[in-house]
Amino acid sequence: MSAILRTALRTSVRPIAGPSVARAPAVGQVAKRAYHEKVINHYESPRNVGSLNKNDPTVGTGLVGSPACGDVMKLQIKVDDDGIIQDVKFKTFGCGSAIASSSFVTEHIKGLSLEQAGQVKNTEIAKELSLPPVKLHCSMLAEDAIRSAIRDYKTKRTNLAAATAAPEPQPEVAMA
Amino acid sequence: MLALLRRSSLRAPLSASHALAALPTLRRFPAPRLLSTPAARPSTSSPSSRSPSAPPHGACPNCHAPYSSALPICSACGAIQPLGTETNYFELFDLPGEGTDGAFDLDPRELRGRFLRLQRACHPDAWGSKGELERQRAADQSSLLNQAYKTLVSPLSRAQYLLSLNGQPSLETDALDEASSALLLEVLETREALESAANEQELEEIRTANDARAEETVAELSALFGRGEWEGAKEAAVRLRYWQGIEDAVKERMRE
Repeated sequence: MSAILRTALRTSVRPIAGPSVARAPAVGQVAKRAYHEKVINHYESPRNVGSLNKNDPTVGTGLVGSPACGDVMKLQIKVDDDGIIQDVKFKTFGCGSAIASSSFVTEHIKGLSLEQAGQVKNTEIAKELSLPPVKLHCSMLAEDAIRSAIRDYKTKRTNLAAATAAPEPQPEVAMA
Repeated sequence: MLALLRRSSLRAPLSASHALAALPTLRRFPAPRLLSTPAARPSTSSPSSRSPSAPPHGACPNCHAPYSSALPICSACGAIQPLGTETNYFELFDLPGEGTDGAFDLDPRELRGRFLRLQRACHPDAWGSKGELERQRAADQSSLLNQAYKTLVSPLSRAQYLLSLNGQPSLETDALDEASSALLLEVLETREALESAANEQELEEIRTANDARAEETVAELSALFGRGEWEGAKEAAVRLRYWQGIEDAVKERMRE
């Protein structure tokens, strides 16, 4: 049983023959993939990692994923009575660019209004972090995460308003 | 679950193919295909386009002897022709490749056996004493063969390849949101458990549970491909991609 199921994920690929890719000159292999230092900085010391209480009515939780990379990103916002984002936390399991993108947006949207935060575009994130074209979807994921968190927060508020409005009689009704 | 692969907000219209038109929206980048799965197109030389009497793999243009495999290497006169890079990987191994014909359920041992046989014919070592053109053609075939084997041997890349052949390619810009929150939550919780696992035994438990999920998903994929349910298969392939991500993360932690 286990022998069969292990083959699903643990297939080792050992091409036994000739070069599968044209050999690059040794010099070319030495050159490191150049990520922008901001990406590396956010990746190595990500800001605002952690969780907020998802049951807190002032907290909105966004959960999004990018199947291409197998990435999952959770972004939470804590919003005050004036609709200003007071605190932001994130947890991202994925590639360096996804981690850097989410770390960057947590810093970026703290102190913004919900409306301002909802307007953050992935292009800003990508530009700020100088993401290479193949990693643009990571910045999109971060943008999606913000929107998802805002939607969750608004849904919560709407539900809360509906729940508190119904059972609590209005003063004049109570008087009658 | 149909909404699993719902693309998030439409940002710019793309030229929607028929296959994608059924899905709500598309993201803006015509991004490269998922993982190492290359852009795949059905081979232009489908067997049905040949006359019934023609040899299944065509014949050598040099001596007209029929080819014994999908590799254009003549066993009679030794001539070697270039192999199109768009060659269908399943056809290369003489395997069913439609999807509904059990293509997904290939036997990895059988695949490996065929791979080794073909590789013997085009291995660069066997062509070392030949001319530069022949050597290059053999090297190209060997390389394509490696790529084809690598793609077909793992259930995830095999599923993705089959999907791309059937108009459901995995795009780098595919995104999951609330519609698939159950999956995302399961992945997140597993990744968190993995992160805080204190010892080898806990890691092994996570891995075993993940293997079970993967096995289940592979069985689902087999059924979905058999019925030709491409969209359902794509969703299942996404799940398998996440289980693969967890497996990779487990291995990463075990190395620490």
